[in-house]
Amino acid sequence: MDLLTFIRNQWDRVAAWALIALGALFLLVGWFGVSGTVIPSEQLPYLMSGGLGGFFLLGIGAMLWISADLRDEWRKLDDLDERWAALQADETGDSFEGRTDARRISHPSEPPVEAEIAG
Amino acid sequence: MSDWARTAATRATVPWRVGDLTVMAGANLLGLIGLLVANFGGGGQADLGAELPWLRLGIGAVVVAGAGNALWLMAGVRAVAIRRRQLLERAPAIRTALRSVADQSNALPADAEALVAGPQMTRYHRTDCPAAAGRPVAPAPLDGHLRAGLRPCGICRPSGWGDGGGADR
Repeated sequence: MDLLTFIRNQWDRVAAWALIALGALFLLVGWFGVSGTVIPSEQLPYLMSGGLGGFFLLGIGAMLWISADLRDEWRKLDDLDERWAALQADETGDSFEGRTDARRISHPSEPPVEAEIAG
Repeated sequence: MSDWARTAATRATVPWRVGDLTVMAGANLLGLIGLLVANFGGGGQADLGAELPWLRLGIGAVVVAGAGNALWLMAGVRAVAIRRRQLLERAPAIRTALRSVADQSNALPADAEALVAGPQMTRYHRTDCPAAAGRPVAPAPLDGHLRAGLRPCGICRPSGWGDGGGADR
């Protein structure tokens, strides 16, 4: 898979890591700024831009990362739902493409069908 | 279960509603604006006393953005949990239906030779084959065995033996 395809498919995780890295950079810059002076009124601007800005970016990055996981899980559930609908269609006599898969996984030399659902 | 939950669980391609997106984006936008205002306002002050209100504004802005993100994630987790529960509730029915399809596909035609195989087995056998005796096997049609990549047993020599599938040893 080339880089562009990966970025297109995983845009949310790529954006999450970019924001997390940027947030860490903000925190680092803020820390250096604060440590470079002993006067509180000169430290506060670094705290606001570096510290709070860094937290803000880290928060969005974490949110995007967890959102990507949730969306993946949702897609898997969606896939299971579709298979179930296809199976129901088969039961009622309608044709469906998933039938081949259902037969394949039901062969006795392979794990039981139930394992597919449970796993 | 609410109508929304039912609809979202069966129709949506993502676990969020437009309302969730609005709240999350709005909170982050508000947070960003608050943070920028706090930065520009606080940056121009020379003494600590004048900077503190801007710092409070900045902290508030980050809290607002964080709350928006938390609400977004909670909505997503909730929708996924509802959908997972719906699927689990149907699991027994799914299992029964899958077993029924498996039984249908494994049912042998009346005139077919009974051929059996089991988990971890690489060859299929006649039902009376000593190599299959006492092992957990199940019947399947010949083409099913061949599709699964199994070869005929060299002891009982079932259908398919000598076609190049098993006569090699």
